[in-house]
Amino acid sequence: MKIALIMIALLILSGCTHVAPYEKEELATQKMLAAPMTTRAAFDSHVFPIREGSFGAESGFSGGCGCK
Amino acid sequence: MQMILKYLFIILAVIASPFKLMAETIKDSVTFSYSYYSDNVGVEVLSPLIGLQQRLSEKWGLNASIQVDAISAASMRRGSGNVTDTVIMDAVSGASGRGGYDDLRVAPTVSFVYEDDDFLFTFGSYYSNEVDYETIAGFMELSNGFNDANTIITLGGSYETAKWSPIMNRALVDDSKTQRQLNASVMQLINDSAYVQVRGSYIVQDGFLASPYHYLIADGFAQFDRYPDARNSTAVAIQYVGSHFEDTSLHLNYRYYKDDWEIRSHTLEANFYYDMMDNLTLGARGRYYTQDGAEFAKPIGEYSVNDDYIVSDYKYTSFDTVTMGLSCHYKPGFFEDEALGLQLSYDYYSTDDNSYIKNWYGKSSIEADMVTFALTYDF
Repeated sequence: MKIALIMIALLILSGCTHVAPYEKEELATQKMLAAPMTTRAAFDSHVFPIREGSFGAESGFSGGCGCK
Repeated sequence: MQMILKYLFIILAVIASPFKLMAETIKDSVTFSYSYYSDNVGVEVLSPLIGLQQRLSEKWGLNASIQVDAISAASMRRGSGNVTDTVIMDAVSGASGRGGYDDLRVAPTVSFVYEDDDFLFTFGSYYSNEVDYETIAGFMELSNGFNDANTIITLGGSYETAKWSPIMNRALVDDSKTQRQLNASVMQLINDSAYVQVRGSYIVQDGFLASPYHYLIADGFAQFDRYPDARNSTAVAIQYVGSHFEDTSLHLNYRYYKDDWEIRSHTLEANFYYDMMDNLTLGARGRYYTQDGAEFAKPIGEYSVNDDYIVSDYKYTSFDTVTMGLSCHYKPGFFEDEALGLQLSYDYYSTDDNSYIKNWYGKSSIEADMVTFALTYDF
């Protein structure tokens, strides 16, 4: 697992090109956000930890929901 | 030592906030959202939220929101069939036989944002109150962009303390629960239409970690769930977001989770978005989740009264789930500068067959419908 993650990281980093601020128009669109559906993402972080036995490393984090 | 660690967690708290390319993070806007959950074991949640985002000065902003969860649940019958109907107030996992709402959770959140070029700092607090459970928490995040924000590193965390007050006056040896969470993420742009984000969380929980309502009835004994009073968890995720074809984006996400209860889980999620028009984005997603059970969870029916730990909650057993959904994001053109944004989503969620679910709910699996609607207005 660790080796696979390192390989993926190296592969990604070796293929990176510098993106200037004026080239980020596409990256700034709604569909390119890490969580384009913000309300659903928030609800996911509410429902999934209640229905499943694991949580963490979500794409959005605001401290938790405080639910039991 | 524990106090030092506690404050260290708070100080180092890092929150992997949604990637926003460090631009125009603070906006003046108001949000109303409404989320709905309903499943085949009688749990229904209506969850409206009102939020305000206000720029206070050039570099400071305020986020404030209040969320209400109105929770209702139907009577549940123990699957073993050797007991009469039992009405228990556990809106999350069980049910009560009353009509209307059985529990009302009110959760206000306030946070402040400081933004300076590629630097972003957020800190805040949330409070949650329901009939049998009260939580207060603090959280912080620190985010910095490097190399024209081609790389963004975020560190953050939270400290949450909670108190149980079971409605049937069950006396708990320890009615408290604390959770400390550290998060870190690195976002790296690959090119002008793709990036990858790696996230990690380390979570420490202690106190009363079971539901005070779950219990197991077996031949000759009835016992409430008993779990260890500490749990340390690690979660690592990698997300790829790329636009390979015009007007589309593909999101691929994988998460690995493990804890010292020996629960291991894998989560695979794929999202596809399509800009049908300049102001309309449609989305579809699929999510697969699989987990191993806790080391102390036995096949149901093999517990004895002298066991150190007893589990009746399926969450700590081995099972899989599948989620499939559709979504859309729309900005009506008749509002100046597309100031109004609408989001709508529907998801279907199901678990596989599980003997613990059957035993507790009387159904082989859980199937749920989830709907979210949000309206945001930038002013």
